[in-house]
Amino acid sequence: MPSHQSLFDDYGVENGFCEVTGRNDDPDVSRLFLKRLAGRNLRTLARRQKGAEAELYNLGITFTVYSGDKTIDRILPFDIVPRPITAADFAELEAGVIQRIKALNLFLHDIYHDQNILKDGVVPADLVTGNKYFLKEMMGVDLPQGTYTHICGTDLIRDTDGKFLVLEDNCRSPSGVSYVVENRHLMMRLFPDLMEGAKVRPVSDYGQRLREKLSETAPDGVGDPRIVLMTPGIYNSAYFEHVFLAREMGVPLVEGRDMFVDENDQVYMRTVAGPEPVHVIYRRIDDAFLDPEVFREDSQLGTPGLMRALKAGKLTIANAPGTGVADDKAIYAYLPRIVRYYLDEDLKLGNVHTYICREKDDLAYVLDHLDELVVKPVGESGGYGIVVGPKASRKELDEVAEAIKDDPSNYIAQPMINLSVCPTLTSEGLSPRHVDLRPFALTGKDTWVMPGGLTRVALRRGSIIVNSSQGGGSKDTWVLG
Amino acid sequence: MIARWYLIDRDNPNSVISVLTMARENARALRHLIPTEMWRHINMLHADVANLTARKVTLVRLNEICEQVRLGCQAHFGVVDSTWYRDEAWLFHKLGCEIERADETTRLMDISNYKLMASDNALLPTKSWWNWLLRQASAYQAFRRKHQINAEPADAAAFLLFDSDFPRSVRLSVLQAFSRLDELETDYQSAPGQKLLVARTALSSRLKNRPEPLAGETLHAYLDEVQKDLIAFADAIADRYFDGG
Repeated sequence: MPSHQSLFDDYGVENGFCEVTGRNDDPDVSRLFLKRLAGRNLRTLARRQKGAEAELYNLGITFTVYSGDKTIDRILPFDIVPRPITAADFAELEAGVIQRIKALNLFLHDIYHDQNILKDGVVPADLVTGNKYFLKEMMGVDLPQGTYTHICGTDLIRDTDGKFLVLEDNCRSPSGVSYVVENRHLMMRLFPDLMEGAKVRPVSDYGQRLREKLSETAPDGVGDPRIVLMTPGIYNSAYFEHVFLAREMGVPLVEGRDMFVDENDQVYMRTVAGPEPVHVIYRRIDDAFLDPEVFREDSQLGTPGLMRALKAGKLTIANAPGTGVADDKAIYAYLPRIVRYYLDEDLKLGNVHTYICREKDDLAYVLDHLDELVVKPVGESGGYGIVVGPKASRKELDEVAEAIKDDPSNYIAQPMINLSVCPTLTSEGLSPRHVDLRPFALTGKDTWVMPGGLTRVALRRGSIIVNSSQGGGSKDTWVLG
Repeated sequence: MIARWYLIDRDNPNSVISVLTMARENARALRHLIPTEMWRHINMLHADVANLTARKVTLVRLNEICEQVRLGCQAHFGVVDSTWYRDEAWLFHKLGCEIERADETTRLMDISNYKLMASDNALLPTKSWWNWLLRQASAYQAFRRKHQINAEPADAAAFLLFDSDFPRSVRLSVLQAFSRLDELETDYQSAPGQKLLVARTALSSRLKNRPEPLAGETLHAYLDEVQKDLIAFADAIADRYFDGG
């Protein structure tokens, strides 16, 4: 036998917690990564990675960019080294996610009913009622199970000590779960040698779980609810995911024009055999475009009358309209207080400390320490508008300072957090690259957290921006044990 | 080279790459209704042709390239047949395929017929002509099983039009389209309506009335009428099921 070099021989972590070497005391992590993966041939792995990406392209697991009359399909780059999560770490994460979602649903119910939390001065009222995602149309509307955020994708990072911290609670329409399932299927097909005997918890039943949870929140008295998935259409960059979820659930994929609401506030979808009633809509379309009777009149994507049906108790919309208030970056800062208010508990999964620029002291601190902080506009997603202080030029810092002074309420700032790293295949071998984690949680009568999640990885050395629009890729996420 | 115009020129709406691109965009829009395996196969076939550069399309490689495309198309039908859940979307897909197939056979025959009429010995179709036509339609061996060696050229035309067992014959394609319509009615309570019934009856009686002789101008005129009937039939389906519903 030739002596075999370990792929981990030259693996040096400069900063941040390593998801593999930081958990080398776990027998599964040690066996599957530090022994099994470590003994593989680098060139073979690189070739197999290319094969995996070709397979993603063939399967059309792509987001599509339309430029002029051309369509360009891009895959989310896939790194074949999985990201492990130990059973103990997952248990902690699971309990924390469930707690947050419970509090967020209670918060949403409260602000759309009695507004006790505002009256008690725990959260500033104007931050809620003046929020662009607050919908007065939802006032007094009772939802089955009190569930507003049926599908939630919590963005998590780990600090230098390996402690999970929440960056964002995505309560509106979190995307990416299709990659979680498809990445797993790809690993099982193409890397059976790495997976053999590994006790990795399954993620393949997500569609079935989603259907169950949506059924649990169907309007009262509907025994066998008809569920549909509503998409803005083929030109949406997440269209693949809409198709995927509809198929995994076994429900029709519809656009706004495929449905109508009659004068009795009942929703129907058109079929060749005539109209059929619809009871639950999982929509992947923003509030503003949902119902031209109530929101944007010029919406071509919506169905007139959906809000009437919702208010009449004949329709469930997941996630509920107006849920966006809860995942606003400004509200996020108050979450420790929100959890204490409703549940009388301490936050299990901590927040990154957040400076609220609308508060005078915080504003002064932020303007004074811009070069140390990460500044984020509230109500934006996809990594847009973020300024990373330590990496920004003088000019960029001056510009963001002006922007903050112009409209302080639109900004929050957080200290620079070092994301954890995970071994990633590069041309030089295994190298640490920064990762985050988005586990998906489904809520009906209660909450189920998928054992896994979307691990996004910043493929550029040193980068901490993991968004796919800015050079990020993804990994399979293995919850072990 | 004209092969490039037909294979890889995107300015030609009928080139293989243009047609595959359109097929792929259709498949993308209908992705929630078609099997994943079918979508995957269309992607791969499209990528094969999209990767053909002008330099690669040479006379020497022409056969290899065309064979790859042909095999890809046949494999497409195999994938469809073995993976698609037999739902209403599948019924409509089959319906479309059968009509298209009937239409393509008439066009192939018409082109061959036209070539013959334009040539010097226009009066009598020769054996080599119908031999060639049958092979174009992948029908030669099937035809041989049915007919003795002294078969007439008109028998070949009749075979392609009226045979009830050859998969690309106009009659078999049309009959199968009819039975898809029947299934739509019985399985999905989706009655065809008056206009579609009229178009169906017209097409049906056209195929029962064989013209004589089955050659030359008579054949050309007859093929023309069949094509018109097929178009009317397809239009009636579109009106009934896809417009306004």
